[in-house]
Amino acid sequence: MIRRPSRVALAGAPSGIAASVALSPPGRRLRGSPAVWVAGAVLALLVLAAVWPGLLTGRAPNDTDVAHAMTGPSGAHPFGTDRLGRDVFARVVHGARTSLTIGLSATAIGLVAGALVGAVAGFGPKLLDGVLMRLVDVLFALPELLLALIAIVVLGTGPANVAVAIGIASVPNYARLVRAQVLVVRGTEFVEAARVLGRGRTWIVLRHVLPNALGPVRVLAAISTGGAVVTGAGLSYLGFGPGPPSPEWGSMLVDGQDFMQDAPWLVLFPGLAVAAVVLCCSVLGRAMRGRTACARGDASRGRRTGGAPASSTPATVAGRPARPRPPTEGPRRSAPTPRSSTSATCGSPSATAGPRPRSSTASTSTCGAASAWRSSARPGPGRARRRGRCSGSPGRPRR
Amino acid sequence: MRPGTARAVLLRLLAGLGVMWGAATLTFIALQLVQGDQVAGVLGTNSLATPAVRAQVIHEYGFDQPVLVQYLHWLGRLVTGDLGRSYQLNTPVTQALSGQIWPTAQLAGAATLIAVVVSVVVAVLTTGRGRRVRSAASGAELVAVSVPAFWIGLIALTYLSFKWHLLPGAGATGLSGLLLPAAVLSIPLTGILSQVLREGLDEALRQPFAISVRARGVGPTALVARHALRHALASLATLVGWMVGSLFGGAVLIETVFARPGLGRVLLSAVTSRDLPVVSAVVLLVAGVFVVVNVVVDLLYLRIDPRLRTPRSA
Repeated sequence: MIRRPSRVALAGAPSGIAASVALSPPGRRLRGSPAVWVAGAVLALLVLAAVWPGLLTGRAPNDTDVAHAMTGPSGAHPFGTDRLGRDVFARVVHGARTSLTIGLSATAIGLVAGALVGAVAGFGPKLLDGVLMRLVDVLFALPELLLALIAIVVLGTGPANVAVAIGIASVPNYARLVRAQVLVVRGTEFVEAARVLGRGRTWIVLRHVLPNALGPVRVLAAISTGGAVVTGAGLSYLGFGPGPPSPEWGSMLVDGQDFMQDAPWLVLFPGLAVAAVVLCCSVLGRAMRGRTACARGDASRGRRTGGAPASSTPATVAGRPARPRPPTEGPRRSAPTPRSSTSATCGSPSATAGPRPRSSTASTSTCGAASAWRSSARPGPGRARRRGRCSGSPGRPRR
Repeated sequence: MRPGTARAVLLRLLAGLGVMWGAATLTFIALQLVQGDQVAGVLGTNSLATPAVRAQVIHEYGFDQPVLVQYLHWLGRLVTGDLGRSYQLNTPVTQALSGQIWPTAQLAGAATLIAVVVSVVVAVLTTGRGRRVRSAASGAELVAVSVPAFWIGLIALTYLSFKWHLLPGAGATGLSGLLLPAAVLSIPLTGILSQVLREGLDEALRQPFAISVRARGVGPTALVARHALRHALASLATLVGWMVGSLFGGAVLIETVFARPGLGRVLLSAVTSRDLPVVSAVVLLVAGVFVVVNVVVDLLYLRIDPRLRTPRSA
């Protein structure tokens, strides 16, 4: 029988890269995949532009030269000039800092706050878990952009507030993912062993739970960084970002859109820069997920236990701009259910198989299955084991 | 409808009410956080209001009452359908919003339709093909999902409307004016839907029933279209629940790009002028639509998957 690519690796891994990762022996194909290299190189270039823009362009972003206003791309001005004769290339290069800072700091805020909420919910008392998850359910019912806009009403405009707003809006994503991970790890033998050895709760969380939860969270973070950059550009486009003179991709789009007919380069290049960041983040995130799956070593072993943690990454399927929160919609969809704290956990396995039919009548059974899954999940032979080995923890998980 | 189903739907609706309550609380918290500015919002930014007028406004809007009382008032007003008055327009919020719901609903509906049709076609055509077709399709989906739709909208508007005059430009009404914004809004959704749909189809084709259907002499296309598609539809339905949010977020940007009237535009001007009653009404509206759509999706499952209609055994 032909060995089928593991379902987990394929689920939501539609990019050529991820598919090839799934189909190839672990670890091999990934490193050689040209798309991953290209994405890495482009991102490296953008990071360079953000850190040291002077290296890429000698021009200042706000130097005006009215004599050469609105000229098309040429040797002297590779991306053309705008109506004040400012060099678009220089502006795009200098804009990388603002855009990437917004993206990265939003991700950091969302990640830290979400991980905190998720860990507290997963490890805390049941009542607290219920309350926190209901709260997350409510936030899930609102689109990320709307949440960000509410945050902007409260905080005010400006790049820093935009970053905070996007970060707050992404907290529910991370909270759910981390909580699901915590529940998986919590039920493992090595955590039990650590507890038997008399380790405190904090120690266990820091030593076992968080490191184990990190894999999928890292993938989500990589992909949603791209999403945060787009949302940031979108919010600047709507006028909530940095003020006019500062070079920022979103506000460059606003500046340029009135002249699009005569000078399409004004809109083309900043937009391309945004698109490049998202694409590269998605490609790298997917490759990372492929690697997480490979590192678990069970790709070669064929069947995977239960809901392998890596697959539970929401948003992996599609690093979507405004709303990086795709097919895992299994869990989201059920947001308003009274049981959805369980179904958030269900989300992980059902994301594996793609969202699965679940009616109001069937939801209990699915969740029942999920909790069965939870209790039986020794977190994929892989992750935990690897971790156990790496961290040299006393509670070394049994295979 | 069996009594069990009715009960489940009722439970769902109750849970939905819980979500609405949460959304109302969230907006109340936001209101409280910016309360100092609320008074300024009511008075207008450059008004030279005397302290007496200020005090009167504070009293009229109940800002001087204990937080709990204000909260209960707020909930009570919401229950009776009173969403408050817009500070900026000085009209009831319901009146300010009512005219804007339809354009946004049109846009969202048309985008959903386009996304579903295109993704079903793409998924059916690309499932079960070689790896090359799959890679090409998934690469295209990745691009569709990643590239910011509002930027595509700007470029499409320039070339299709202004340069080549194929479609009416910004601000146009009617069906032809709807086509371009809806198509642009549907691009990322199409990417996600076709990706998930193809996975569902691949999954269904791996099931034993696929072989037995083929053994009966049914062709591969008929197998996909008549049998596998039904299995994959469930995931499609799931995504529709999520699309509500995504559509609304996208609509805010697309409506701005195409200068269309709609909720997105109202929301933007409300956010800019910190007109919180309008913002919270939009929040409640979006949450409500989300809840309703998800209940409908649940009912759709019963139609799609006959297995769910039989009583549960375990």
